[in-house]
Amino acid sequence: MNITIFMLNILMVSLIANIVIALYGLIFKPNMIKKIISLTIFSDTASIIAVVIGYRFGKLPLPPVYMEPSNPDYIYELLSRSVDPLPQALVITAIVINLSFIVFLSVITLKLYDVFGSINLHLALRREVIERIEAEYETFEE
Amino acid sequence: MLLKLKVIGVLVVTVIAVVVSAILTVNNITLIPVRSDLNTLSKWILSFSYNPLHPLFTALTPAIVNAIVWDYRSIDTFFETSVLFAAVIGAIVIYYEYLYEKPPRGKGLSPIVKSVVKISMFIAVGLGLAIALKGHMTPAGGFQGGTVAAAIIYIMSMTYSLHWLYIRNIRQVSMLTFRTCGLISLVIVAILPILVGLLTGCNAYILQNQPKINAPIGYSYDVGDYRVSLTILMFNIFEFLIVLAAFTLLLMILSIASMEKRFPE
Repeated sequence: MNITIFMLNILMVSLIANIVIALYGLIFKPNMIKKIISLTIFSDTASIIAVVIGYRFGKLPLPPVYMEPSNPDYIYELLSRSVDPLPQALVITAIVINLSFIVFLSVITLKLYDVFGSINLHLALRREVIERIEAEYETFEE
Repeated sequence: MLLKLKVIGVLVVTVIAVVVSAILTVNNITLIPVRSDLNTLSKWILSFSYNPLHPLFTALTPAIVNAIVWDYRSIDTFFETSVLFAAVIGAIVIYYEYLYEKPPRGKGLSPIVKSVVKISMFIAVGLGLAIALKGHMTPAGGFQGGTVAAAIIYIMSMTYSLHWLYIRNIRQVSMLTFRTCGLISLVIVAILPILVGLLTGCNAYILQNQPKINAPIGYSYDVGDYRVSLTILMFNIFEFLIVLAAFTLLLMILSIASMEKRFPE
């Protein structure tokens, strides 16, 4: 049994389990804070998967940085040993966008608490429905 | 009882993960592609990210990920900055009434913590600035440096209090102004080649980094005996300012909003 492949498979299975648990939290938990935490876990796990896919096996891998800019032959060293820089660059963009979305969701959660007195979506929906029925009843009585 | 069930659940999931991995390994199946060579696009980017011998394609940026973020895929980064901008604007619109609100007085933490933070805050802000300023030569960049500096602002607000920051002009409106100036500067750097091209009668592109064969406008400077891009350094500096100001603004607005709810005057 190849130990490297075994450890890689454990890593990938753990990341997939992470995504499944995050999706469960996102869909089935009515608490907004738990949803935000699940979304954070989901997006960070997806970023990790992207970065791990860019890893390069074989000789000792190098980071995608020109450590010796004055040396024109360093380019050959990078081409033979550097990890893939593209997934890392795309993940940077994805992290910022996820962060922006989570910031906005946090603000929405705080406002939800202001309006409904609860961050539980089921309770908030129930209160909204009750308020609407009461408003319609008052209009009917008039 | 519930805790015991959760612990058993975690152990069961771990055992299932190890067993599934073992089965996949025995059958020679890998879920991650094990590769020892890169694709053509990655090789092209590695070859030309810092290559003064090929001025047509080079970004003159030793940090390859930064070259991708600010040169080869700079429009992605432009729209990523727009998304961050929109999120902060959305937060301000929802809690507009706290934009000019003064935070209540606070005592902060103990003198020991205050003394430690007093010493380390300059080092931390300097570290954030160093990460941003060297983003075109080493890993990291403007966003990462801005996040580090914003983290120390958060620590200062917890150690001393938001009121302490407010009376030192670290206010919501000043951060909003700072952020807007950073965004305008970023846009100016992006369209500067076109403005210079219009004045000199040359062709130029938006977000242009180095001179091209039909667009001879580009900015670089010397570090010792090699040249690096000046445009990417400027992008990193302004992104640092934008991110620092945006996170500080969000901290102040959300903290004041939640304080008003819990401790109404």
